[in-house]
Amino acid sequence: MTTGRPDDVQGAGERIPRVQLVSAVVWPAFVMAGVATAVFFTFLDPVHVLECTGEAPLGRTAAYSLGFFMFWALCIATGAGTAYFLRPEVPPRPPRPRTEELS
Amino acid sequence: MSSPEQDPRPESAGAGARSRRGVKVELVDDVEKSLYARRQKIYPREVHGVFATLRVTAVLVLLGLFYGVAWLSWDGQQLLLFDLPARQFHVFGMLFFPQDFLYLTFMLIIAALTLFFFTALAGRLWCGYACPQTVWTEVFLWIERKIEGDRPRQMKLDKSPLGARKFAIKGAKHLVWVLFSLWTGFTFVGYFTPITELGARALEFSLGPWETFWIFFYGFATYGNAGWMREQVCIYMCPYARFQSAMFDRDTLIISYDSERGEPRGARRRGSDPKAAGLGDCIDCTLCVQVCPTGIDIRNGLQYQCIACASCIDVCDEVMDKMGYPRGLVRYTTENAVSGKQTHVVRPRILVYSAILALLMVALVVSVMLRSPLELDVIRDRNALYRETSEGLVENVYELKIVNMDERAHRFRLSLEGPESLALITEEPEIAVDAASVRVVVASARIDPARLSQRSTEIRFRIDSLDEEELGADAVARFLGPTPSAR
Ligand code: SF4
Ligand code: SF4
Repeated sequence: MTTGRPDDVQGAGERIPRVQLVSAVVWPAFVMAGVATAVFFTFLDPVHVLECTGEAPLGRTAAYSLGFFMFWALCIATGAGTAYFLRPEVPPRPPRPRTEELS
Repeated sequence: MSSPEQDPRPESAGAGARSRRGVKVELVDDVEKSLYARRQKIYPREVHGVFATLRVTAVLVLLGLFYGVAWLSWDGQQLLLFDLPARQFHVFGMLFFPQDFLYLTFMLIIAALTLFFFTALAGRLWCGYACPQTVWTEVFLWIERKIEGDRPRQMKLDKSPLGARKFAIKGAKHLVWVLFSLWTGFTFVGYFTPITELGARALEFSLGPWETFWIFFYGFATYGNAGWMREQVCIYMCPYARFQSAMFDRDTLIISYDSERGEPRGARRRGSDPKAAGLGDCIDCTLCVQVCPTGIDIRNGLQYQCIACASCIDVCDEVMDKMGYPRGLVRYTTENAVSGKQTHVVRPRILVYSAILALLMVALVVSVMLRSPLELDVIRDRNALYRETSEGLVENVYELKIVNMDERAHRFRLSLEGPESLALITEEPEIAVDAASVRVVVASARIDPARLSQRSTEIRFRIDSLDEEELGADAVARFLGPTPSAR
């Protein structure tokens, strides 16, 4: 039975524990955010990017960190979306037989 | 929990049925419930033995490396430093730049293949002895044991109501955990920003906001994963735990209970003849379950929760010794050996993995060795196309970026090739570049416009080391002048 609470995801009659659900979204997002940050900042020096936007005093460490959290948030959003839409749909109610046929 | 008939997983129904014979019904049920509801806290019992010694040795060596290598330096340069603020990576006397990320990719692929190789050969060796999750959990368990006492004491303490004594013990444990975690976080950050300076700033309480943040972030991750999450990381978060079975075959080393020999299990008096009582060698003491850090019963067969820590082997061998039975009721073995067949160490899978691995390693070493430790980049001054001097010569200004990836300082002579009478104007004909660093110098080139046949001419800057033969680099640039027809 889905009650709309995230830990009520149903699959083959099993409940998925909350810790598994949260890890399944947050943890791969963390890994992919790390990869994305590494690739992104390999090609772009944040100091140059920041010069263009006029935020130069921010510094590289801050830029890397903010970039990482931006990517993480994006990946979490994607993962959460996937987890949400993976909830099994509620099966449609079967049509009621016509009353004449009953008599 | 669903009843066995509704349970979609046949093996768990089987395990449940089997467990009902033993004392351990409750424990197996706890494990099964943990797949559905709240986790039962696991209190691994301390164990001694061959594999425990091996594991502790591995833990000490790996942690020693982690906490120690960060402090190693040579000629004032930290040996292993991924200097993110400076965008350069020092790896044991070599310097890499972000553009060298291909090597990193290479190394990650090699690491993954090495893991595959060892998994096919010896199962989850990595999990039991080398995984950071295991290594740090081991330390946290040790701290817990020192402060709270052994397994029965820990269980008693957790059941007792919160009072001053419990509060003090728990508080002390968490304090030590937190301090150890912060030190871990500090060391971790010390691999990404020079650690001696980081340490000095930490002592003066003048760390930057992001440095502080990452120390706490990583410290918190250590505390959470090794103190609280423990086996749940292996079960829910580890991708390797999920797919390692794909690399297994019948010749892979696994930890297994010899049910042929052990069953029917049952308690007995010491010295009594098991044969007469119709019993196997397992005395059903459940010690193998009590030592298991993931709370499973190895007697139910190979399970993916098993991290192959070999604690159950150690403890069961001890039991067998006490009973006067031969060791190895629980042991390292292979599926083939269990079913009485020959075990093959060398087999196609192993050969393929080792061949690919060797190839990649050679490729990496060769490409790193062939890499030039020097790079020259030339950027034309964008502010002006060209300038005319008072003598009627055309001048272009260039910015030269010299990247010295060597961990030694060098001096270079700058020269310029191009059309005849092209002159190099620089304030520094000899350029000194520090070890592992980048220098930008400005130089210009001048020529009589009559010598130019095109608007844009190719010229070449060259640097040659004055202190090391054959060390040099060049770069092509464009020299712009007036359109010849316009003259
Ligand atoms: S430790 Fe050995 S004897 Fe004791 S229950 Fe486990 S398998 Fe049986
Ligand atoms: S079953 Fe044995 S080897 Fe596997 S995790 Fe438990 S104690 Fe370690």
